[in-house]
Amino acid sequence: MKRISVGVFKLTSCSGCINELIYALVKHPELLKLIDVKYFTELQDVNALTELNVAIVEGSCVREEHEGILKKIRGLSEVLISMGTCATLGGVQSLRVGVDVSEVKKYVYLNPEYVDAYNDVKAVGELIQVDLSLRGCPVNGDALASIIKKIVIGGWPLEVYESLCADCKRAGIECVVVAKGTPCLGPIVSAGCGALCPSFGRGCYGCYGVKDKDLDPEKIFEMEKALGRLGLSKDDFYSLLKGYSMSLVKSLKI
Amino acid sequence: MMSMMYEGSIRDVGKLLSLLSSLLNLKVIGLRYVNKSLSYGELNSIDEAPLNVEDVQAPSSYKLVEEGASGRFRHSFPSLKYFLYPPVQDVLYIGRDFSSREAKVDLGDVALFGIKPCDLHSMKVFDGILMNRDPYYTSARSSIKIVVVEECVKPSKVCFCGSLGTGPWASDGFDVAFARLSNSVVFKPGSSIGSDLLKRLNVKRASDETMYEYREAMDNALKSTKALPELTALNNALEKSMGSGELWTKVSRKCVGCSNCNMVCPTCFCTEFFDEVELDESAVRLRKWHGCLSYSYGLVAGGHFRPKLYMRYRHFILHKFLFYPNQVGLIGCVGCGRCITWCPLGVDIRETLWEVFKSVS
Repeated sequence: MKRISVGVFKLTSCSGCINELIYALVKHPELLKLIDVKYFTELQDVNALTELNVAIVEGSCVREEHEGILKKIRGLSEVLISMGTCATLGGVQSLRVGVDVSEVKKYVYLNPEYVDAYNDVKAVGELIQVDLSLRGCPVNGDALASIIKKIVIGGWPLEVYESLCADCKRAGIECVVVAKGTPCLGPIVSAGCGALCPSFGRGCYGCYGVKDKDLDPEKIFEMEKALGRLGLSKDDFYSLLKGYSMSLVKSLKI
Repeated sequence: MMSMMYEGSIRDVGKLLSLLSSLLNLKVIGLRYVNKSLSYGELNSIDEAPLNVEDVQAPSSYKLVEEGASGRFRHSFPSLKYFLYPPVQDVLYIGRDFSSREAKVDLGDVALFGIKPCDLHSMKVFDGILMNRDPYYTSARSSIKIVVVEECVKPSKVCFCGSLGTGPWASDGFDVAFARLSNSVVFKPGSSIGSDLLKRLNVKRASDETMYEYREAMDNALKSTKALPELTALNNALEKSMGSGELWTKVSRKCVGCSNCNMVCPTCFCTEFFDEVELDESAVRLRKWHGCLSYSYGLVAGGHFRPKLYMRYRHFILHKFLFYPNQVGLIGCVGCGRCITWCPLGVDIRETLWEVFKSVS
């Protein structure tokens, strides 16, 4: 088996997905023998920006510099994977979109002038072509390991578009909306986490992002109404969508 | 419906359950209510059966009530398919040389206890589609040696079996059916083994008063579960409605394609196949339930059969009412109402069917 060259890059994000990737490599050490890590600043000291079989990008794009970096990585890599909700959809930093960033910076940083960010927050796919998107805040480490395995042996994962509810029902979890009256975004959110929050009796808050198929503003409105009846305010509902599904909020014009 | 009937008490129901394991050596499977939680599993005694709780069901709402409960339990979201056709199942084990070995299903010898007539009927639908075609279902189904049904004296607000002839009583395909009345329990044998079992209980021929109460209860239950237009007219309307994208967009306006209805439906049987590949290039092929409301359903290389959500919602309804009859001679809907209760958006199949019926007829 030929070793594949891999680079892992980070834009604006919390490194949670990179941690998941490291945990996955620790859990499956055999994978390390099959990948040749060229660039991964969290894992090694010496890194080279060179041609890659696979580039994995964490984080969203918040300044001009990022756009250049992304285009450069795209040019160097055969396959590019957006890892996690920030890279795929924008991530929680998107909550500031719509407000002047120079205002927002003042509330957080003592020296806001050091922070270089533009007003928008862009998902990787808004700037360059992405071959595979993995959602999750953070991503599911087992899914990540399975994908790397498949790519190493020359395969490709099967992408299934379904709601979190499908995973929830298959796991035999009683629906928190129906049986407890707990607001849960599951019906409009992509599956992938294995219904983690509902398995603890909590509602899904949508960290895998809203589904990118089937939904339009009217359907989203139906969901907002249904959860409104259970006490989730309109503001909270749309904040959750903005925080975890920004690029879809933009394209659906919600 | 009118074979010889017997009457006894709830103790006889308990005795019947213990006979299944002690006399027939069967593993008794049913819904267990233990530590306030409900799931399919092995029933060790009648105390584990949900006899003293009530499920209060309405569109998008389910409550299990203990206090002040009438003791009329119908069902929860897990249908028999969790047992007979599990959500995730190994299918093949594949070696790196592409040799393959089929996964085996071995459930032992099983008695199903306390299932409702709608679920009994769903097994008939599954049999028509999967028996002797799907080896995993066939072997799970063949492990069932005895079926004990509880007839529905008081159906819930979402039940509509009366419209489909799938309840509230059991007609065939069971060994013993029982119904709990106000002061007694009536028993009905459905097979010769069922008759033999009843002879071992302390039951007597049902009195005229008991039979009157039973018939009246069943009659009321039937009336309360008639909630659809007349079936032939309904099916004609569905046939006519097929090409109207506008109508189906309208009736599916609340649907977000979450596939909860598929997952809780006792007759939905679609799956997607996955390969879990190891680095030594061996693999496990497994299948998972996959709902026709999900976008991936109908997605094939080069295109999509039903790219719009209304098309998939329409397919869900039409498959149950128009296509199953062609496939297996039975309507695919058993009227259990699970899809109504467990839809988080409150989509009600009865409303859909009436809406289509009214706008086409």
